[in-house]
This record gives sequence, structure tokens and C-alpha cells, in this order.
Amino acid sequence: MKIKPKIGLIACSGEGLCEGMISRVATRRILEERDDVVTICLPLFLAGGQEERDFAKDNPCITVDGCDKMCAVKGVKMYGKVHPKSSIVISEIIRKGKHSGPISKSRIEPEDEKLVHETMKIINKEVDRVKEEE
Amino acid sequence: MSIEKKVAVAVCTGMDQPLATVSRYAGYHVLEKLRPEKTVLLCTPALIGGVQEDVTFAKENPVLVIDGCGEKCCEKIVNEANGQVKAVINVEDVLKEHKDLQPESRAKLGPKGMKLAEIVGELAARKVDEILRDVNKDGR
Repeated sequence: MKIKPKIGLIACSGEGLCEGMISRVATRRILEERDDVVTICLPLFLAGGQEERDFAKDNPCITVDGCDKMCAVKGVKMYGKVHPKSSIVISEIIRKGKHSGPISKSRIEPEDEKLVHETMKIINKEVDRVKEEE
Repeated sequence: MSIEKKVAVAVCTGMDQPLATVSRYAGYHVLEKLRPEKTVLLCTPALIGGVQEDVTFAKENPVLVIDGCGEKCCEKIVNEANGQVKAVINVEDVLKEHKDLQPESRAKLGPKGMKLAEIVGELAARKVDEILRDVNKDGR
């Protein structure tokens, strides 16, 4: 029997921009919905957490970045020496879907829900695609 | 004329522990309510991503770290980026002194968790004042 790997979701969670909060909330909600994904704690990963880095080496990962600075992708490549299987960027979702950008760094407003749902849809699709490839 | 320094507040951006959420809410409490004129929120992942404006800001301004747990990731990341860490608060340590204020979950802190975040925020606000007093005294 082949044990299927879990998919690691790595959200930027950056505090500097509202989009970082969208990446965190959308990722967290996916984690609560699916049992085939886990989260990798980005700060622990970056600060040298061996367990996190080993997981990223052994399992497919998807990054969810807030903006085009793509710190989660850079961190995974630089410190994990791996390339994420898929990379999602909230600012691109906003641009392509013509969503209005979030206005708060600290809380999800009712008008942000559409963007969170759109992000969740994309994450779900990418998780399914990566699983299929594995 | 010297430009008045602000304290860069770096919070734990971890996703898998309620204490990280407490750290984040404590940061918002300082930045939005207690010391909005004296603080700026630092984007921790950007320091590792090498985003120049964030790295420069952390190097040129005093940094207050609010870490979630004993892993001290945020402090390590700011140090790695050669940021000026002037004070560190660890939520886990504060919780030891307020054992009844256990947060509910990483997604929802609940009233006790929010109270803990406010206490950490008040502690952080006092640290901000101390840091700025020292910085202004030293003229740095």
C-alpha cells in the first residue's frame, strides 16, 4: 500500500500588507476543511525548524503569498532548497478577478469574504492538481 | 532636524498555534490603539525574502519582537536580517503568569485569549515607551 503524502500549505501571513491576512485566513479555512493538507509554520521554517524543512523536502508544497514580493516562495527555495509545486499570489487574484483590495490588516471585513472564497477555490484546485500529479 | 524614530513591531506570523494569534492581536492592539503614532508593523517574511525597504527599516529603527512561543522564530529572523532588536516579549511567558487566560483556538481566541492579547499589548506599549526614551536619550 502506498501512503499518499500530505500537501504542505505555506502562507506568507505577512503582517505588512492586508493581503498577508487574506493568505492566512484562506489557508487556515482550507486546513479546517480538508484532511489531506497540513500547514508549515513559515516563521519556524525560516528560523531553522528542521521538522518543517524536512517535511518540505519530502512532501509537495504549495505557497500562498500575499504580494508579488513572494517571500514564502523565496524562503522555501532559499532555506528548504525545494521549489513549491504551485505558487498562489493574492495580489494577482485581486487583479485578475477585479476584486477590491482588503482594507484591514487585522480583520476580515464582510466585503473581503468574496476574495477569501475565491482564494480558497484556487487553493483547493491546486491541491487537487498537485495530488493528481503525485 | 532629526527624524523621529518609530519602533518597528515584529510579531509571530505562525499559523499552527493559538499563541501566534495572540502575538498578532497584541501587535494590532499596540499599533492601532495604544501607540499608533510611535509604531510601525514589520513584515517578518519580507526580512527573509530580502525585501530591501523592510530590511532597511529593521536595521535603522529599534525593533520590538512579540514572539508566540519558545521557538523564538521572530527574534531569530530579525536578528538574521541584522535588525536592531531592542526588546522581546514572549506570549508563552506572559501566559505562565496568567494561566487562566488560555486562548480557545488559533482561529478564535475567545474572551480569555483576547484578554491575554490586550495584556501582551499593554506590556508591548510600555516597552515601546522605554525603547523610544532610550533611543532619544542616546540621540541614536
